[in-house]
Amino acid sequence: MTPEQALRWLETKGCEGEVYELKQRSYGIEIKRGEVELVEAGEQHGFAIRVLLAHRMGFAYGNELTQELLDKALSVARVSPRDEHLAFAGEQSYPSVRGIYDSRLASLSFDELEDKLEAMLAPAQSLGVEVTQVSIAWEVSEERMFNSHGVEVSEEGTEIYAHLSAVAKRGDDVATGLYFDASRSFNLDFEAVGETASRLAKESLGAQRLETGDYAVVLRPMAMAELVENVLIPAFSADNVQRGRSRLAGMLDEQVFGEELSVVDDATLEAGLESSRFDGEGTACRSKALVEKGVLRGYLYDIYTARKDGVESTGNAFRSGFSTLPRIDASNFIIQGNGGLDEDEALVVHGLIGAHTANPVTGDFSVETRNAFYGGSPVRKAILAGNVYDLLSSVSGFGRDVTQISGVVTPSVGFSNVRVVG
Amino acid sequence: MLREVRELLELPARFVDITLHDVESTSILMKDGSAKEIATGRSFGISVRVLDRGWGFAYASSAGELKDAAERALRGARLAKERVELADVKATRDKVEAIAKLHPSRATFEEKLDYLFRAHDVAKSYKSVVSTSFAYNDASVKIIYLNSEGAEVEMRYPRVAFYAQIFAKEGAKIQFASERVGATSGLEALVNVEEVAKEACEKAQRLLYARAPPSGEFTVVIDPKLTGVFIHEALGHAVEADHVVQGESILAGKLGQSIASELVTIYDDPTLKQGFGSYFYDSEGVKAQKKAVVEHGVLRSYLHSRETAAKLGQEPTGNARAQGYNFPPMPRMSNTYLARGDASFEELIEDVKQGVYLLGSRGGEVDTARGVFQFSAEEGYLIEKGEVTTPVRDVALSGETLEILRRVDAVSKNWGVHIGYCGKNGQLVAVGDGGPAIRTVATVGGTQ
Repeated sequence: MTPEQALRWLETKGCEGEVYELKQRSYGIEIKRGEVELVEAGEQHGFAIRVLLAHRMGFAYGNELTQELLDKALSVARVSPRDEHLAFAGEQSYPSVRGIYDSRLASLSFDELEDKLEAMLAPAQSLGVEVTQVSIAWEVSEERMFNSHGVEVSEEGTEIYAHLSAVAKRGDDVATGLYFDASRSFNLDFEAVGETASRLAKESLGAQRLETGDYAVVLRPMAMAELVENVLIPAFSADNVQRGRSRLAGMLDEQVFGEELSVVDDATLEAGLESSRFDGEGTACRSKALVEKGVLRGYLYDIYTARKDGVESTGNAFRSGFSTLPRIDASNFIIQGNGGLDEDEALVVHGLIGAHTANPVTGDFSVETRNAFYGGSPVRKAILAGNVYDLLSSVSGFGRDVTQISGVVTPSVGFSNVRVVG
Repeated sequence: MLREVRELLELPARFVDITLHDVESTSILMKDGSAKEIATGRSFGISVRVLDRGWGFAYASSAGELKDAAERALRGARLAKERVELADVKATRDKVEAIAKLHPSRATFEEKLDYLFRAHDVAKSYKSVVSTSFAYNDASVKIIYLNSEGAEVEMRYPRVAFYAQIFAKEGAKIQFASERVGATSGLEALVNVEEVAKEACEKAQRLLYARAPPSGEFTVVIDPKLTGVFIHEALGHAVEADHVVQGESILAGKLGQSIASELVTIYDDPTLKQGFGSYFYDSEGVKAQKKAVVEHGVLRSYLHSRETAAKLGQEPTGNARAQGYNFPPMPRMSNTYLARGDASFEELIEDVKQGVYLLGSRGGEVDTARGVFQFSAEEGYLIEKGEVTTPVRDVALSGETLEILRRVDAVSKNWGVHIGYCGKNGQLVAVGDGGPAIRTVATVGGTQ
């Protein structure tokens, strides 16, 4: 059946409904060692239904939109708790978001990647390091949302991703480097991915242990993004705030970080990796200030948590496929601050190992470093231990190298006093 | 449909395999006593691999697109340039089904919800508990694997899991703790959800009174849960043979060599009864088998797909796994555990002058090429003069594979395997990790 038919049938049952449809084509190539070993081309198509029956929500998913799917969603609604705050999006206008669909990427052929691959592999060769893994993957997706309140909106998006891992060896000494980048269009700098990973591996040879102590630390965008994603973003979720699981609960309009730091969540960012016109509930996406000069200005909401707080949804309910419910998450989470970065006497850290094990509630973290350098010399093993809230209150400077890593847009950020366990 | 699949196995290529996945699942998330998010559905998909020189891989989410997917895979295979060989295996024809006393497909939503209500009732009695999440997940999996060598394997199994996440508060202090239980089986694996909830509540409460850990190198005693994650990170990933082939494993070229203390024997065992990472056949139709990865400190085997086994001239081990139809298989762990020893827990502790005893896991990560890994404990205690003393929290450990495995100097009798999900190259698969409590030396990443 069509989404319109599904909604009409649900109406006859006294039910509000919402239909989400996802069509996706995915492509990829993988090199393990040597030449291209695997070429992938996949297609996926699925539907998710949400229904509201007397303030009870039901959800079901499947590959096709069928009567069975609607029945399943209704049967879920019947056993679900009644909650007056549950609601679907009303009819509204959507922003236009630029740079999220590239027709060239949508019709890209594998041949067009040959010289890109060469560009990725060349730096390793000239630097004398071994490439251990390369992958390029791209995706063309189409999302459509319909609901009983007249929401009818769709979007096409493209994204390409490139990754390279390299190993440098000298005698028994082994060093690794990895880097990845993604873009909504085919303008991705493939050579830079190969160059960065290879250089990191090579420069990390001859690493020495660092003495335990308190150091000035600079987190490069990739390390910064790993920490922010795992420890900081959950604290802005209104769901966590309302349930007392966030350090930022009850802190609105208070100074929570140093005043040199601001944070914006902007789903309308041109060419942003997480940019979109509408979220997984059909709410229009927008930009919102979360932290202004260290002062907390807002949280990330979906419709349910917004109604609980008597505010509007911020359009931050996102779906990760058709088989899961929309969940609150950041879109493009942008860390802002200006200048003052001094790297001379700092431990410069490119990546982290184990950032997902940090404590998202208290902000406490203790993570191993990847490609860390002190005074320009590579460091063998160093754990960074501390608390994200203390860290973000002691920012010593921001670099000019603003980069988007997954959902986080950030420059290198310097911190004055971090425990390093060597 | 199977007839069409069999016809496509005749594509002009060196090897073709086709897998049909049909998964029905239900998940329920109860937030603070209210079953907020109930989702149910079914996802069907087909994956096709074609081997010409290298691999072409394609998938589709409807039966009508099977032929189209096969053609895409064939075109892909012709583009791949790296020569891939496959180790020989017996082409099996089999039909297997896991025994489930209470199959999730036969249970009602109300019965499934009941596990969560029971858990919530336990949590309610704790004053300091301010927020709870309990989750129930089940999947009824049907996989049919066929290849051009004549293999035809049908597998059906359910998998269930229950998660508890508890937040406790005292004054301005807030801490959380998690517990989980699950199995490749029916709902009978969830009989003790009350105990699981209780353990999570007590742990969250204990953490309120724990302080930040010390930093530096310490003798550490780790409980079975953490031993499982330690083995998984310190050793397991480095014996996945794709890492070995790609030149990114610290254990490359070390088969037959001593890499760990004599007390260390490690198995990877997908045949473990009800294990969360158990399976009958891997994603290439190779029969699951228990194998010793390390025996008394000596490295005995890597974990192989047919491709990596051929590349290294070794026997296939049945460790090729794919997350679902939309992912190609690669070497993965199943249930990986350290064999038990003969020490009592007291013996592990009694001669430690200054150390840390660590329990529970919050996961870990490894750089296999350098053999540097990190893993995190949920809670811990200082060990002073042979006694367990002050509680500590947020304790992360790091170490180097070859060093830390050699320094294992005591292995206890108590033993358990726990459930987990392992992520690798964007694919998540269910695994079991386990072992006894052990003693070794690691870097403790505290703030003091």
